[in-house]
Amino acid sequence: MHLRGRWWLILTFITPGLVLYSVFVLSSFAQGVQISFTNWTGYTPTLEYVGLDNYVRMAKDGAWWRAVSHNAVLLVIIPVVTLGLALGLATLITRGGSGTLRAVRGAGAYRVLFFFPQVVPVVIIGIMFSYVYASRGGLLDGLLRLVGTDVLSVVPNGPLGNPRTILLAIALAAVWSSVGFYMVLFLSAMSGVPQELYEAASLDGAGRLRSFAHVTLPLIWSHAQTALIYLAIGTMDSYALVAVMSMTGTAADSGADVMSTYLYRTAFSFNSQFGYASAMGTVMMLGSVALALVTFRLTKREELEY
Amino acid sequence: MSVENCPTPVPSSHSSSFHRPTRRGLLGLAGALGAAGLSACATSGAPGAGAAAGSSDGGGAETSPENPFGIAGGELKAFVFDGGGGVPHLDLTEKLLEEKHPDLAADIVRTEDLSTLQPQFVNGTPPDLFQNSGAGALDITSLVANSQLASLEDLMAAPSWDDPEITVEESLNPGVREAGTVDGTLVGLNTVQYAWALWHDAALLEEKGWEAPTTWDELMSLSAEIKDEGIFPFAFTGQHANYPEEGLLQPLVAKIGGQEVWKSIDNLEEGAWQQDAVREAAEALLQLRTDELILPGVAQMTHIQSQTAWLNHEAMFIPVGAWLENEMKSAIPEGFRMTAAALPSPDPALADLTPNNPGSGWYVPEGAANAPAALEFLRAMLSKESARNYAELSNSVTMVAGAHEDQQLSEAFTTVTEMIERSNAVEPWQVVKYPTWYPAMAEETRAALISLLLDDLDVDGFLSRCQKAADRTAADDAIAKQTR
Amino acid sequence: MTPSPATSSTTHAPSRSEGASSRPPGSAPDGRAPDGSASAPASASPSADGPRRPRRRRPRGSGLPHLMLVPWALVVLVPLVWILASSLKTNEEIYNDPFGLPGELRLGVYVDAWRQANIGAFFTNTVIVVSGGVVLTMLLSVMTAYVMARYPFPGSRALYWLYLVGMTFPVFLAIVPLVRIVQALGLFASNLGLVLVYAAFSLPFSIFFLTGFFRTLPKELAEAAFLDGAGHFGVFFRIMLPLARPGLISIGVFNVLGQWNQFLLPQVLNPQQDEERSNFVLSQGLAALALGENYETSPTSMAQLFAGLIISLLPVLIVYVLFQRQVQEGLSAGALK
Repeated sequence: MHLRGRWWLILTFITPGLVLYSVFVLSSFAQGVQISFTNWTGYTPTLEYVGLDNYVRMAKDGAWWRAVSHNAVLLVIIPVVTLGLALGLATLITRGGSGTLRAVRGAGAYRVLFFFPQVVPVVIIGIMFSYVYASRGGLLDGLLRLVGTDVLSVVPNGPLGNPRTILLAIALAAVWSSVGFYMVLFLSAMSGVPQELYEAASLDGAGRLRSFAHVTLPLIWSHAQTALIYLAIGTMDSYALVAVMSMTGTAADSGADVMSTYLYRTAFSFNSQFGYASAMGTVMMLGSVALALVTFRLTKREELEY
Repeated sequence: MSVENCPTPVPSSHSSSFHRPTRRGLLGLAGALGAAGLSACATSGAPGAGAAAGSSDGGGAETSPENPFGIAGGELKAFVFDGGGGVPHLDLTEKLLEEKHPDLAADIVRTEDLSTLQPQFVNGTPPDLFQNSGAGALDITSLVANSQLASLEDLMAAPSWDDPEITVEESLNPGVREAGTVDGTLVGLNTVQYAWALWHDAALLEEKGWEAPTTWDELMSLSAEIKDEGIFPFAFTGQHANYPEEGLLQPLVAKIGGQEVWKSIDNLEEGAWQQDAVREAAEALLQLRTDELILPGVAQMTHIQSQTAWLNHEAMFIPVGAWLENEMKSAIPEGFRMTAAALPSPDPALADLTPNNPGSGWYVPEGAANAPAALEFLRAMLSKESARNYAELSNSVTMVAGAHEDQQLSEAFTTVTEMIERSNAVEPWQVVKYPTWYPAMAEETRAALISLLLDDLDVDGFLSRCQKAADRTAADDAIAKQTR
Repeated sequence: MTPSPATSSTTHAPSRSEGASSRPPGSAPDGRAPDGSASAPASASPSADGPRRPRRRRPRGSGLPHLMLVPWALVVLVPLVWILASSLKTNEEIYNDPFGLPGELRLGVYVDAWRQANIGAFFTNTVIVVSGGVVLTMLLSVMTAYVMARYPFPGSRALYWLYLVGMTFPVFLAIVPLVRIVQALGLFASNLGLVLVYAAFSLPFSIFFLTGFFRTLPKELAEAAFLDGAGHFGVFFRIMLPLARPGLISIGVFNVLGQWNQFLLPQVLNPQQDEERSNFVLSQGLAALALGENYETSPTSMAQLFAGLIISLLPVLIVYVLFQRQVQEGLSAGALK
């Protein structure tokens, strides 16, 4: 129908965005990959190609693999805890009122409040949590003192000074900052679930937990899936929080060094090895894409219509 | 654009021993990232980026003792690191320059982030002069490797500002040449003395009736007494591992086995880290942990936080550089008498020796448009008047010989100058270079040191970690090697 | 958010109730709270079409959810309060007693932050850049998403994935070449440069979201309009765009949030040009303050940072509070098939 005007619309609508995207995004990533095949150190206009040397080097680089393992740990902790909390909170808000069907009182206030961490710049969150974990006058220390202990007794050298705990400490800060966003997402998704289904379920004798598992979850599955992928990629690439809270990955015997902080130091602290750093970036890029695909595959479910 | 996890860079570690430690990495990223791209890329075409480079050549006039570089007007474009305090001392230097060369227009740009200069190098339009500090500092080794820095021999050979009878080099304290030499060429002028000291509060010592220790044994027995009084003997920043390394390990090893030990380590000699001197030093430092002499919680403390704790008398001794007073100015309690002293050593002969790294490096790019003006600026800066002015404004000591002889600034300042004098009287300190040459290796050795001091690494573990790092560096062909 | 196309197969859930028809997305779920609880609008799950069941269940542990919600509310609030309190303290107080109360209410620090610390300039720059960035993003993504959703052509799938995959790339990889590109275009250290780059990097997510959204809009309206003689552009501007309002607002809010706090891109593309850093955006300026505190430039230098932080938080928070209902609706409307 109306094939005439069709192509005109398509062309005018697609082209500007595509041009902008190609010029700034696609070409810069492409060049980034290009640099990964060189030994460029950032001060000269020319560069020398070295083939796959950088990649071979990375394969043998113990510090790189350590960083990868740290990312893997974060990849397990952060999505699970964040989405778990987000789902839980969203459910409580949506259906935590009296009975199992109503929204909890003050839901609107909760929704606004819980989203708040999202508007705080990540750098500030990092600084803030550094003070939370501090051994002198820190919030955690203050709380522990109320129950008769203190943070250094519970965690020798403090959460951010102890190589065994620093990654977890940072993960908690990441969770704190992200839960609100995903909670809002789930709230919206849940608001689309019709009331009758819950009523029917409770008629059948299902309690909150059962109706969550069998009504809510399946119907918002695609949102959960998207959220998971988004969060997983974000965790892979996350830089700011880790960098602030661990001196760009070096604190606590590099206990929290991740790929992005190691990349940063490679490019800017270790004699400007931009070529090597770009190789790391390229590998991270491939990893992100692979991660997205794998996550997608693993969590694929039949979409339910209601 | 992703709503969350917008990647934001963050403070880098204080990794260079020359630079006044800062928490600037955040900004360092930007500038450093401001590096331009590839000429291989299709869009290359170099419109000039950032600030315009230096201007017309101002040389060509007759040289004379008053005008050794033959300047005849023109412009000078310089970039200086400004950590937030302004750089007021340069006003005087500019004035001196102006008086001597009224037709020379100097434009000194103060910036927090030197890495913004990187594109200028790539485009071939660098400034005439820059002062390389802060976390955005440029990588000098790379610049030298690419022949982008000019030699400063002419400056060294020129007549000094105050006394035309002696050369600039002669007017300076020893160590400047070594500090500024990279790969055999003298490219950097390091004007400020960043000496490391073990600081304490003289008032607190007196109050408790204690004597400042001069030998290691005295230090240890005093520490036991201090501990009994409920104060921890030691504090330092566990987040910036270069502090305990430069402030404790370096001097201790040098005092036990001589400075040659560090030389062999710098030169990546086989088994250098396993030498007896290093082992003994490690054992001595381990005792700090096993005797519980270190303030708990330092592992998480930044330099400011550990220094604050020290100012509150939670700890007695803290290893920091000569900048301590300036850095903590607004937080020093009444009656606190900051005193700098060299780290006590087992061998009393070397007791006064302390690391004394000339820092705050100035460099002249090879492509500078007005190099003579740059050299003249530096010459003016090395005048006694400039040096004294600098000391007054920043409580820091310069490398200009005799400039601070009778300067009465603060008590702390005096203790620093005296400490430096005594150290120079023992022998000149040779800067330990491996952290600059092999930053990845230094990251590992420093992490191992922190582990030794605060976690559960033992001496053998420490030595083997350091040695492994050195061996890896030596075996890696991708890393350019240097020696001294 | 609807999933990307061709990835979900739909089956019908064994549904006990009929009549759960999809509502036209333009109508807002009314937010009528069943049983008239006094919460804010749009707080309850929308009642479905069909008669409301008047049956009352016995209240089952209605305090319990609050027991779990309140702690999290505290977890969220305490840091906010901390920032606020810190903005009124001296440096010494912050070091020594980070979680105590300030000695006195030094409100002048907010004025200082605006003027001395130059936050006023940062604020202005940020407003300019974000307005431009969001407008451009919305414009381009709406146009692209509309075509993706409604006018598939050979290669449109590939193009869609091309955009999507941009979301997975670590920005670090692109940073250095990006600087070069921006310089080559003469846009370095300029607000316009930032606007263009922000928009370019925001396209993937916005297109992803809006494409899904446009897919949910009913075809019938468009078909009717065509029958009435409207052209493609006409249908877009007069029918589809207005219908897409909730989605547009949602994605608009998300873009404002993301671009307001964007740090890496301006740091790289907008470095300091003069002493006062007058070209900085808020995130850069605040970071500079955060790192400048080491130099003890004044006894309240850290407080200025926190005051600047509060100043920076407020607009975004206000935007979110004002629009959170629409954001919710936009997201949920997109959720319906």
